[in-house]
Amino acid sequence: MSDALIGCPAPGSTGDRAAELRRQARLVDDLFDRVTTIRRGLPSPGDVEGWRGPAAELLLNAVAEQEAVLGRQIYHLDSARSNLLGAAALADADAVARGGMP
Amino acid sequence: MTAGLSVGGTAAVATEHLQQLADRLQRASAECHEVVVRLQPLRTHDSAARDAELADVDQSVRRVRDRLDELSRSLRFAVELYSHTERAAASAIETVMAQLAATVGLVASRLGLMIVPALVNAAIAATAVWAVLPPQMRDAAAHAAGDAVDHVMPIASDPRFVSSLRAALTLMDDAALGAIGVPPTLVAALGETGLTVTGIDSAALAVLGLAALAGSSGVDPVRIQRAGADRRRGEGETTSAPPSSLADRVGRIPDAATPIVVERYALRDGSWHFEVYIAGTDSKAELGGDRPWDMASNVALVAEQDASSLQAVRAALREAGATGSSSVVFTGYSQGGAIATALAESGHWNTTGLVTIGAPTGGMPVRGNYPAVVIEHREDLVPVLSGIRRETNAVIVRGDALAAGTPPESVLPAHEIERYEATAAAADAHANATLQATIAALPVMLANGERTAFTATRIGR
Repeated sequence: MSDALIGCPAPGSTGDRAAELRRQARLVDDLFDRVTTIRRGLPSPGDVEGWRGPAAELLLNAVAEQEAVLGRQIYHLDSARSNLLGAAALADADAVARGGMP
Repeated sequence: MTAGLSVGGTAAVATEHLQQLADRLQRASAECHEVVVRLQPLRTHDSAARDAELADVDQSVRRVRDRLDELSRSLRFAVELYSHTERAAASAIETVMAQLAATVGLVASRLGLMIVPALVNAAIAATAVWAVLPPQMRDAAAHAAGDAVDHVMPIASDPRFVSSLRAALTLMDDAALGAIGVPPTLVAALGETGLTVTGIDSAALAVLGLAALAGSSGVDPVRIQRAGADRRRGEGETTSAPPSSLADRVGRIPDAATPIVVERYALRDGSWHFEVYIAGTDSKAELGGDRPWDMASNVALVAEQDASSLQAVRAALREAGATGSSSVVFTGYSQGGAIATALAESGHWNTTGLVTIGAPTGGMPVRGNYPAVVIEHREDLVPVLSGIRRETNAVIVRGDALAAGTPPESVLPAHEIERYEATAAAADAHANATLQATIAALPVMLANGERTAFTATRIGR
């Protein structure tokens, strides 16, 4: 794990708030990519060709369930990323309204 | 050409794929864990909704991680279970086949008593006809016989035929017991699937006994000599770089002219590590003659006797300075593979590795705690000569040496050492984790060593 990821401080009320939110959005974006890659790498029915029977079906069903769960988490991560980027834009606007630099 | 390479234990050909799936699921689980670790610092208490969303992701990915880990472990368990079941099924089938073979042997022997006189008469008649045939007709008949051999050759390289032959050879002793009147149920109890009182090694022992009676023995003593060297002047040794892969080891196996090569590498503690490379059967050696890499030694090895060639390798190792505590890796081709296995399992050496190619070692299980790789071609007749492979700790690598539909250019094309070199190179590059771990466990030497080649001569008793 990278040291840069340890301990994200709460975005402050100063001008660096927007920058901090954007940094967090990038971290969430990285997680979005990772989960997407994991989901794509899970075995599909084509990967168990030559192995038939109830055990193979059970495995494929179980993997499909995990794939669906990961699919939902990808959606959540996308939503969190958008939320962070939106909050960063608001923080920029707030800073401008107070006469600061975006 | 090497296609369809599969890696496994005694019966794990089909399970290799499941093992790869288990590895994939394990990797996915580890990646999920990484996501969980990276998610934790992202909750900033700045937005309750966002924190809740990320907490939900955290919990879900944790569950997926655990589930994938469970699936991977279950799949590994299933792989083991499949292997055990396959072995149990094979044993049960063999028991039934042993009884069947004994029955066939019993019937055939009784039938033989009735039809042998007729067969003898037919043979005498055929000989008489051959004698009166004009030369042109004899040539035509010989040509037709040659054509028949050409038709048989591709069949002899067919993996299905080779596999059937392996089973048939295993049942040979059962049929023989049936022929002398041992009840079929007792035959199964005595054979490989029962008390192992009889087996292909006992059949080979019987052949060895008959050969000894006929004057050719595969267990006569031998004399070894450093090749091309005057030992008193310190000649005969050349520098050798350490072996770096399976293919490299296979490539160092000598030909029948100098059937043993020993490499010696100095270890940091002052002791020596030895690599011994052992040639395959000498096709030009006269049966029971002065060249010990002959068929007589082959039969003695399958019968688990102290074959002349086995004695020669033992003597060469001692001559090179190896002792019972020396680290030794054995590498052998064909008969050399059987010698390598016998020495590795003898308990007389500190075996640190075993690599065999195309060896008749079906009845020679590898039980020692050292990395062992057994490479076979599915179309190779030689490994089947020792019957069905028994339980072994070795990693079995099976490959196709011949392209489907290609007519063979020689009698045993799949047994050629050049093809085994290609298969060994494919095994080096194979992704199977067990195989790679086994290759990595073979000793690695950092400095050059000394290489000595030996010749061997059988001495009559």
